[in-house]
Amino acid sequence: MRQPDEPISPEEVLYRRIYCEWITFDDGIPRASSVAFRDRKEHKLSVVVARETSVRRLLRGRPEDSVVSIVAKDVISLGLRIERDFDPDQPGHAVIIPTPNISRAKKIAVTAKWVKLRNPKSLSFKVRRWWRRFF
Amino acid sequence: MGGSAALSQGSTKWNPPASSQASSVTITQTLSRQAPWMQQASSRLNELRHLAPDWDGYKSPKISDQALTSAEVLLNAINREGLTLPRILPVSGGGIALEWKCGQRSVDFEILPSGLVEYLRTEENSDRSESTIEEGDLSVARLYEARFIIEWLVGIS
Repeated sequence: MRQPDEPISPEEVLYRRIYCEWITFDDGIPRASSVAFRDRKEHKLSVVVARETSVRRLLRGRPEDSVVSIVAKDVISLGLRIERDFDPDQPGHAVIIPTPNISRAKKIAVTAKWVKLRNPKSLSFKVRRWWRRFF
Repeated sequence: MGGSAALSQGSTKWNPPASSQASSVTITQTLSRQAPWMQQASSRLNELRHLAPDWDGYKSPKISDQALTSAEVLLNAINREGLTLPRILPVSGGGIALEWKCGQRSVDFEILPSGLVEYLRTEENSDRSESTIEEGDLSVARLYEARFIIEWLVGIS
């Protein structure tokens, strides 16, 4: 059983939920923009430990969002800390402190891998949006 | 006037020209003659203005009025033909990001909720990794200097 204060290992895989407008396209290939790894309100960035939650739970109530994975050591190597942050609604919740600046956020974005991609340019995405709007 | 900006290849510090102090006049002048992409940029800012609180699911407030105003001033300072529409993205906390890529060079501006602007100039290496050329910030009173950063992007300075 995991302890609430158990440190996050550098090998740990983390998930970050990606708002649909944070997906950009390079030569038609979707990628998470560095904007997805900055938060100017909290000055810390919300993530979850992948093995302690599920993508489905992370996307609950967010039908247009996607999920990427990053590895903790790629964050720590930039001089950032990762701390657990208890959230009763989100098991495995943690925060990256401080919130990455532009250059660090870009470096994290480069390492991010899609776990669940809802491509906003796809027909299915547009149809589902239209469906939700009217029904 | 931007051609005199002191930016040499490989330098890590960029100094705006002394003549840039007259740029408030320049901004006013460019308002009347917009580059083709400026209208789309304005529309995009208007879309961001209408994002509801918690638009990102991370409890972000709305995009702040200060950020929107700074974005408009910054875009008017940059307003030049030959550029493409930047990526204009909302940032958690109420800010706005503007991203341009031109060949190997990229410029990222982030307008904070306070209206202050942070920027990053990067250049892509042959192995597709990126080297940071310069990181800095612009106060609201110095937003006109964004045009010199863009002149670096398009290879004028």
